[in-house]
Parts: sequence; structure tokens; C-alpha cells
Amino acid sequence: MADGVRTRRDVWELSSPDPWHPVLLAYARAVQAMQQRPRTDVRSWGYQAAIHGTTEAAPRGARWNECKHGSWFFLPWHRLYLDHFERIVRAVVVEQGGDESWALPYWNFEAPGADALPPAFRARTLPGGNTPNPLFVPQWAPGINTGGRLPVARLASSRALAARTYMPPPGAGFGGGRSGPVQFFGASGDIERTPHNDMHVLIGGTGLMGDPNRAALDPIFWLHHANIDRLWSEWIELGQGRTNPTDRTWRNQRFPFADERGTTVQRTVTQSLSTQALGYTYDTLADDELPVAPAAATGSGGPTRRETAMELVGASEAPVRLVGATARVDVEIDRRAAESFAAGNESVTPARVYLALEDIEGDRNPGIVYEVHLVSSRRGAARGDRHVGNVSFFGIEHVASPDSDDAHGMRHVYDVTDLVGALGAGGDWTREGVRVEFRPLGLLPPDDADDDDGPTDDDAAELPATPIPVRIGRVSLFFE
Amino acid sequence: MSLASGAFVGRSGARPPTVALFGLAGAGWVALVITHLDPAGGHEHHLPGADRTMGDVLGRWAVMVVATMALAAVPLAQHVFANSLRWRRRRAASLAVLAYLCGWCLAGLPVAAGVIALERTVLVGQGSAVVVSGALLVAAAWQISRARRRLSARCRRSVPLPLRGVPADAASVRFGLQQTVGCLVTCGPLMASMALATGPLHLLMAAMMTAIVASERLIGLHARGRSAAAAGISLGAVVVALAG
Repeated sequence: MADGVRTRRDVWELSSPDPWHPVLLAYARAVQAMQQRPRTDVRSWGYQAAIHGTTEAAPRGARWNECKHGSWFFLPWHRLYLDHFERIVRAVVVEQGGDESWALPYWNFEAPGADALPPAFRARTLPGGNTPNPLFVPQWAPGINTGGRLPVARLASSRALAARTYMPPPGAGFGGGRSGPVQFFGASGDIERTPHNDMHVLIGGTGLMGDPNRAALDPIFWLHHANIDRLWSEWIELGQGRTNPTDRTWRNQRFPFADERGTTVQRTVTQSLSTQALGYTYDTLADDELPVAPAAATGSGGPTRRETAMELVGASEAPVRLVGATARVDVEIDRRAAESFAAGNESVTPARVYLALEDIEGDRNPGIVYEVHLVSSRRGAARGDRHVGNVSFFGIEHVASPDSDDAHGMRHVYDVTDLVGALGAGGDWTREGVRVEFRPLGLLPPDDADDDDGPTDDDAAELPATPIPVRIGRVSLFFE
Repeated sequence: MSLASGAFVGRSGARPPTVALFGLAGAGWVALVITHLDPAGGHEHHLPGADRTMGDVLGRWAVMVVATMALAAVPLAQHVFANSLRWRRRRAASLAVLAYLCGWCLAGLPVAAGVIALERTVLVGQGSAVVVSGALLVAAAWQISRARRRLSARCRRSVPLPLRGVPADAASVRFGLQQTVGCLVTCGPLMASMALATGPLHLLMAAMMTAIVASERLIGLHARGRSAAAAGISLGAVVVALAG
């Protein structure tokens, strides 16, 4: 620990050769202690999880159900949430005689050999074999607790990291779109969609991690989010124009949290912008943190926001129903709209092409991630890999909930410019339209099926006999 | 909260309908003020208990709807406009807004019948202020009720819009009417109490209604905002009671 700055380390690196590295053992024992505290204690496990989400009625004065998703506040709110949680856990670690430099590990699932749930989270008992392991949660997706591997190639963060802007304008954007400080909104950033949402669903299925009202009860939640937080810092380090919004509306937004003494503190987004100022860093980051850019002088705008000249040119005729199997829908391009677009612009070819999945509705998260592919509707066209991205439905309960302040159908937008270009180069892009295919994305089999100490699939969350349906109201194409 | 959130609110093709709706609301307000100033049709001459016809009440309701509810249609119009083909954006947005406002006007039928019935029985002399004040208190309580919050979720649901033809027109109309139903549930009690009000108080209440609706639909009111709106309505109830 240098200058009071603690380093968050990768859980898989800590797990080798001993799955129970002191950092993980200290975490497990702190979790156990926090789970024994009354739920009304702000430093208890239940209370901390309820800050993210819960279906229980909040006690008087409690700030529960505060999580921010589908919004430009997604990253800063979760960073501050983790920071205060980490302070509380560290206080417990120290109370138990542990190290003051304890820091929350992160799970970089993209590192070689790190694509399965870390072993400390799969063991039924703590070392010694007598005490139940508080890091083990039975409500995971089937297969994940027997060493099932994440389909890393389909969850790569590189796509999100490639975005140069924080806010979607409107297709691609790393951090999320402008919104009020709400729970779920319609402007997810690329990093929130993949890998964040997809990981929640692939790990949790219909269990804890798949439901924002219960996700933070799962100890792996915090390591997953530490990784997302790390990726935010990595994104800034990549430079080349990648900056956080300078908008004062964003920077000055306040969120309340409880510190390690249980005292409520107000934190602003600005305070979240430097991890070193918060007292931590990641072992993958450069030692010198980039300076935080000042807030913009104007009350709105910012370098990442711009007017968009989007134009609808095509859409599906009927909704798509996803029920756990491959589904296809044809997106018809309106000839008059395409001609009109070409006539009103210097180039016949649009600068960007966006695919939008609109009015997504479902009663519950089905616990299934779907890959989205572009397929030529031309007969005999090559069936190449035109992977647009993934769509998963983490938080759909909130969106559909009448108790949500901002309930409405989910909407996801993907920049498909390069894919359309590839289709065109192969002669597979037609003026009539394109076919969109949704394919369920599952876990890969374990590298080593020999997992004597681990639980079995009987421990997994029970899946419904029939998959929970989700409806996508319209699939549409926009030109910019 | 806006329905257009996460949608593409573009500037290509034609101007978004926002300006037109602000203009429509302004025109509604001019008409509303004129009806109060006009000695022939002014409300001062329709004191409680006077013989107002269904036509009188409905006409005033329609003006009130345009003045106070046109701004509530901004998110609806923006959403339909941005998510329709360029060559039929205006048509689609206009149909949705027309359906929305017509829905509100139709809802005026039972309200007008109720107002006339009350005017001929209860709304006489001092009783008028008590009834209007009571209606406002009910509206204030409704404003912060959990039931209203639950029911208002339908205001934020959008309808998938087909590309063109009759299905697209039908979806625009359905979306507009769906919004009317949502707004009726959330704002109906306040609108009904406004229909009962008379004289300058009516104008003040219409202004309050416009402010609440515009804040709720264009900015988004959360718990504190809803409480502030309820407090404002309650204050209005007190003012009406004292003025009566």
C-alpha cells in the first residue's frame, strides 16, 4: 500500500496456487460477520445488498433500491457503492485481525484461464471443512458452479473499450446516455450491456445475480463490479479522446452512502472520477493516474454530446418472441425512406447504421443471453459471423415494474456500420432489408470435469419448465 | 421522463413537433383567458347554480384540455416523430397527438354531466367552495398515492410502430389513446376539480395544472416533486376554501 492507496488484484491470480489466498479468506470471514448483523444495520450484508435493490419494504430512513442502470450514472454510482462497501468490509477485516491494506479483488474473466467462477466461490466449506463457505451461493446458473466456462469471445470488453465517447450518440458509447438519477432507463452504455449485463445473467441465470433486487447478496457481485470499474479506468487510460462527461449535471449529481462507521455521507460524481483519490487502484493500471478534466463551464452539453440526425429506414413488421431458441426476424428497408435519405445527404451511403431493439418487454429476466446476428435475407448468401452484440434482460423486472419511476420497454441500440459494410462487400446486403437472428448463448463445458469438492447442478437455481418469454416489439434500422 | 429517452430524437427531415405543441398550448391559454374576459361567454356569468348547458361545460373542458394537456403530449409526439419514416413523420405524430387530445375531450362527457348535476344540487352559494376545495384535497392525496404511481406506469409504455400504411396509423392512434388513458388516471382528479372551479380561481388552478403536468412529463417528477405538487394542490384547496 503506497501513500494510502490500496491495490485491487485479480481474484484468479490470488487463487493460484491456493484457492484460499488470505485476501479471499478475509473476504469470506468478513462476509460471514456482516451476514450475522441485523438487516437494519447499514453495515450488514443485507442492508448493503438492499442499497442496490430489494423487494422488501425499506425501514424508515433507509436508502434502498438506489442502483443506477441504463444511464450515464451507471459507472460512477457503482464505483462509489463499491468504495463504501469495501471500506465497511475492510473495517471488519481489521476487526478480525486482518490486514489494513485489504482491498476488494476483481474478476477479470477475460484473463487466460479465468473464465470460470473462481474456486473459492465454488467450495462448499471454508478451509478445514467444518464451516459453510459464505462465498458459495447455490442460486447460480446451472453449470457455473461445476466449472462451466463463460463464452469469453462473445463477452469481450474490447467492443465497449473501442468506443471513443462516454455517452451514446446514440449508437455507441462507453458509459451510458444522459438521464435523470433513475434506476433503470433506456440508454445503456456499451460496457453496461456487454460484459456487465451478460455476465449477470450468465452467472446468475434466474438466481441471485440475474436479479438486480438480489444480485448484491451474491459475494461474486462485488468482484464482477470491481472488474467493470477497472474497465472504466482502463478505458480512460486508452486515451485518444476517451474522456468522462464534463457536464455539470453529471459531475454534481450527489448520491448518499454509509461509511465504515455507519455514518451517511454524500458523494458527488466528481469524487468518483479518481480511484486514487478514493484510495485504491488496480494492478493493471499505470501508476500515475491521468488528471481529471474540469467540469464544463456551461450547464449542459459536454464534448461527448452532439445533435444526431438519425433517420428510421426500416423495421420489422411483427414483434419477435424469444423463448430460449433461435429466432429470426426480417427487417424491411423502406425504399422511399432510403431514397429520401440519400437525396438529403451528400453520400448515398450512410455514415453510420444502427440496429435498434425496441419496446422489449417481459415479466421476468429469463436468465438467457441471446447473441444478435445480422444475416443476409438473400437466398444462398454466405452464412458468415455477423455478430452484432448480445442482448440480455438484466433489470427487465424494474423496467416492467409499476413501482419504477421510469418504467417503459427496454431499448438497445447497436452500431452495425462495419457489419453492414461487410455484408455489402460480400454482395449480401440488399436494398430490401436484412434478417436479424437471435441465438441463445450458453456456458461452455468445464476444462476439467473432475470437480470433487464442488457442488452439483442440484445446487443450481431451479429453472422454469418452460423458458420465460421476452418480446421485442420492433427491430429497426436507422441511418445517420 | 420522456418516452423519447433512449430513442433517436433527430433533427433531420422536419422540425420535431415540440414547438408546435408549445404553440398549441399557448393558443389554448389565450382561448382560456379570453373565455374568462369575454362578458358574453365569461365564466363569471356562469356562477354556480346557473343553468350551464353540456355544450358550455364541454367547450370549456376542451379549451382547458388544449391549454393544460398539450404539453403532456410532447414526449408522445417526439417518440412517434423520431421512430417513424421521414415521409410520414408529421402524419404519424399528428395522429397520435390528435388521438390523445380527442381522448381527453371524450372524457369530458361524463365530467360535464357530473358538473352540471352538481351545479344544480350541491354547488350553490358557499357549498361551491367546499366542494371544489374537497375535490382538490382528494386530487392532492391522489398525487402522492401509491396507487397513482402504479397506474401511471402505463404513461411510460410505448407501442411498437409499424413502418407504414393502416397498421402504422392505427398504432399511432392506439399509442395516443393509451397515453390518454394513462393521463386520465394520473391527472383526472385534478382536471375534474378544475372543471368545478369558477372565476379567477379557475385560471390559477389551470396554471398550477399546466405547471404540474409539464414538470411531470417534460422533466420527470420523483418522490420530492410529487410531494411538492401535492403540497401546491393542497394550498390551492385552502385558498379556494378561504376565497369561498
